[in-house]
Amino acid sequence: VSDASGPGAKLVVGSKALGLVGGPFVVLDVDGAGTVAHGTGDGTTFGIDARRATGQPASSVLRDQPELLGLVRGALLGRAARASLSARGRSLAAQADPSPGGGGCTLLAIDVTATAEELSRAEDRLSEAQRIAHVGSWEWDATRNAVTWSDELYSIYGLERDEFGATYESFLERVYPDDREYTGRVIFDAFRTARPFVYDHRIVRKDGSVRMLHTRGEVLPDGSGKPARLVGCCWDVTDLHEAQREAERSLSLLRATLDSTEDGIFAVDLQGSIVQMNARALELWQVDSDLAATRDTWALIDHIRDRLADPEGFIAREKMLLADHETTALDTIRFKDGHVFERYTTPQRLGGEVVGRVCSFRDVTARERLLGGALVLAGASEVLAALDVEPALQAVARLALPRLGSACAVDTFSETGGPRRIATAALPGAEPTTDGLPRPVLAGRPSLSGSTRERSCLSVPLIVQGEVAGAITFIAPPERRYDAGDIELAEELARRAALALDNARLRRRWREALAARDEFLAIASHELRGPMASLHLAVRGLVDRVAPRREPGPGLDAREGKLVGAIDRAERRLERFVDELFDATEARADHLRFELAEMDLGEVVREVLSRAAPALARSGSLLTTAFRGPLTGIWDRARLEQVVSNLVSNAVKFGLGKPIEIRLEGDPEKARLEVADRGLGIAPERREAIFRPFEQAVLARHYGGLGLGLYIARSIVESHGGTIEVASEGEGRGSTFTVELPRRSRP
Amino acid sequence: MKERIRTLIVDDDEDLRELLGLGLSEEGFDVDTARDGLDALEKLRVRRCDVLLVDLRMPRMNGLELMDALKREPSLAEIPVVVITGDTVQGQDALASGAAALLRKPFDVGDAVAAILEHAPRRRRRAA
Repeated sequence: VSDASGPGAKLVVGSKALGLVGGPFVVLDVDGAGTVAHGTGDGTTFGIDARRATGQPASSVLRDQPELLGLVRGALLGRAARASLSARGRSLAAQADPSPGGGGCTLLAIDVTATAEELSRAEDRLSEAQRIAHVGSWEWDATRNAVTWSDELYSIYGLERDEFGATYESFLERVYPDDREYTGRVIFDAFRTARPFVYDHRIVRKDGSVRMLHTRGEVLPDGSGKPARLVGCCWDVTDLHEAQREAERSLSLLRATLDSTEDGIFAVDLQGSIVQMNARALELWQVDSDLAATRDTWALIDHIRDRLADPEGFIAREKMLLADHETTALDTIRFKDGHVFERYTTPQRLGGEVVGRVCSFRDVTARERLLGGALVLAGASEVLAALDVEPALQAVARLALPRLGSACAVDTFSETGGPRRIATAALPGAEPTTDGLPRPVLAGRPSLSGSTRERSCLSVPLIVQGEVAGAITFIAPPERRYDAGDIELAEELARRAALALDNARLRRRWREALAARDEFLAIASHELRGPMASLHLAVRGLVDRVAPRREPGPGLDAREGKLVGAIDRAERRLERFVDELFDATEARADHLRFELAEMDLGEVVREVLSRAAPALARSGSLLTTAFRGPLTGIWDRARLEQVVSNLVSNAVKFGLGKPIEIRLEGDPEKARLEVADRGLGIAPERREAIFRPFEQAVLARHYGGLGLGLYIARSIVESHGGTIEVASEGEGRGSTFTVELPRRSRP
Repeated sequence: MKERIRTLIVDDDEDLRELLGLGLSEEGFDVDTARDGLDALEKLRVRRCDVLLVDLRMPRMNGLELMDALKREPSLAEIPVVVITGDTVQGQDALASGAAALLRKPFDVGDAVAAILEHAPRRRRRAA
């Protein structure tokens, strides 16, 4: 207050200043001999009546307060001073300042009796609170460049009181170098604008560690309203800041992950609103950003609905997922154009509570197609192994769907040249394939047709032995276009089908050749019997005429006798061949007939051996026989004679003059005949073949014969419910044939 | 002169007809021959026989057809038929159609004699 021209003006200024102080107060304005006082509240606290004091000399007003008067006198002499004094049990804080313009002074005295105690307690509480909250407070008196820190702030900076210079510069020194300029600017701006401020900066503690402080401050003016002091508090937010950084890092990692994954990801809340999605999700579902911005699941579903192969099923599943928050599910979504998505969905939990659902979609079209193709081919290979090719191709046509389309047809060229449709298949509701084969297919190349509006049609040729033998045609469902992968799969399928066709043709020819052979042999064996019958009667007649004498006589000289003998032997051999051929064809046609009666197998074996005696003698083989046990049974005697005779003649023929053993054993169930030689033997891989018609273990040109004997023998034995087997240690080590016959033959 | 068993050999194979006929004649049978079924029917209408020896496969009328034809003529229906065949299946068919016996080609004259004697009417058998 300076150079006041009148009491009114002085009062106004005083009121304004005093309003800032509050509480009980007394103000004395001393101007030369006059005093102006103003006060609210208890103006008589210190025995001074503010209203009556106005205009009175200070010496009079402050008569009872010599310390205050002393302060006023000092101030009038230009010395500012403070004092704490007591009066009537009250504490008083007083300050006297010379008026800035000279010639007067102000005296301010405040009753601080209660304040001092409360302040002391409040300071304690504040200090405790700061310690707990990790908040420190500070004050910077800019005019004096004096910085005051609370205890906790020292603790935050890791400093002892004597380690801090308590100036702005020593504060700035503690600021992290990169943040110093910013800090300086914030403080400068605060001073300039006199506005409260908030900012974060880092500090370096004595131990070198860096902390992040969150600071709030405000500017306090001096008595003249000019900014003079900054006060504020600091909060060590390093941990919070770290946590926030960590959260940001996690979020950025999540974003990067979402944006880099091949999977499309949607996160929806419990109401079905989309809360998060990645770019891949938009791409997979062909969703534009406007639609995405609606965040509406059902809008999205509406958008894709027409492209789904089974929209109703999909929507039903969506509703189910929306209703059942806890479900984790893996399902497959198929599109009309053949695309396949796999969807994995799992609840999103926050602290154990489900708050939404995350769905990830993956385009598994390529995988599904590969798998589908492999399954088609594997299935095709299996069905095409069947002997009957037309049902097999029918099965292939069905197998190829839906992987290769909605309908399929197989055509083959008949013997007369035109294509014949031998198999068709179509999915329910699908249009069937049309007739006729495109030109490229007839030339042996795959054909792909169908404009964008027409349905895509794929034909691949069936090439057998280098010739186009037919084609397989596929029709795609309306939304689908065939691509290179489809053509490749169709061609592979066609290759397998063609191979099956080829095999079927070969098999048919082979069967026809076998049937022709059997038919020829059957006819031949029958036809031969006619002339054989005449020849037999003629030869028997001739032999009977000359045989009784067995010597040359009238009408038959020695030479003629020999010729008749030769004719007789040749006729018998020829008859055996014809019989063998006849039996073989009868056996093959399952026409062998049996006349069963009780008989003794031992007797049959003895008879056969006795007839074979001359041949045995000629071969030089030594024969040993062993008979044991019951040897009777219900069998066809003539047929078993054939079997034994065949085995014995083989042993003689292939025994190489080495010993031959024949063992015949009977038990209550069966009779067992073994014929063992030590001759040529049979290679292991031939042991089954010798029982097949027209096969011999050794080359026929060395040993002759039709090679039907063992085949007939096996047919006879098996018709009796028995078995015939051969064992051989190998070529050159002999063979043992074993026949087992149940003693009661099957009827 | 004792009354011999009358046989008729029906076969398109001339050699077989002659050889079998020769053999049976030597054994004391009265033998006539026919080339096929029609030939046999004509001969039988003129002169009935006691036992027929019939080949199955012949031109014009085969053995089975001859047997059917015989059944339709009451005077001939009772003549026993011995079938001569090389074919087991046809032989079985013939037995099923009423043939008395089978002679499976090739056969001996003795087989034929045994079959004839077994099936010839009693009076003739005694006479033979």
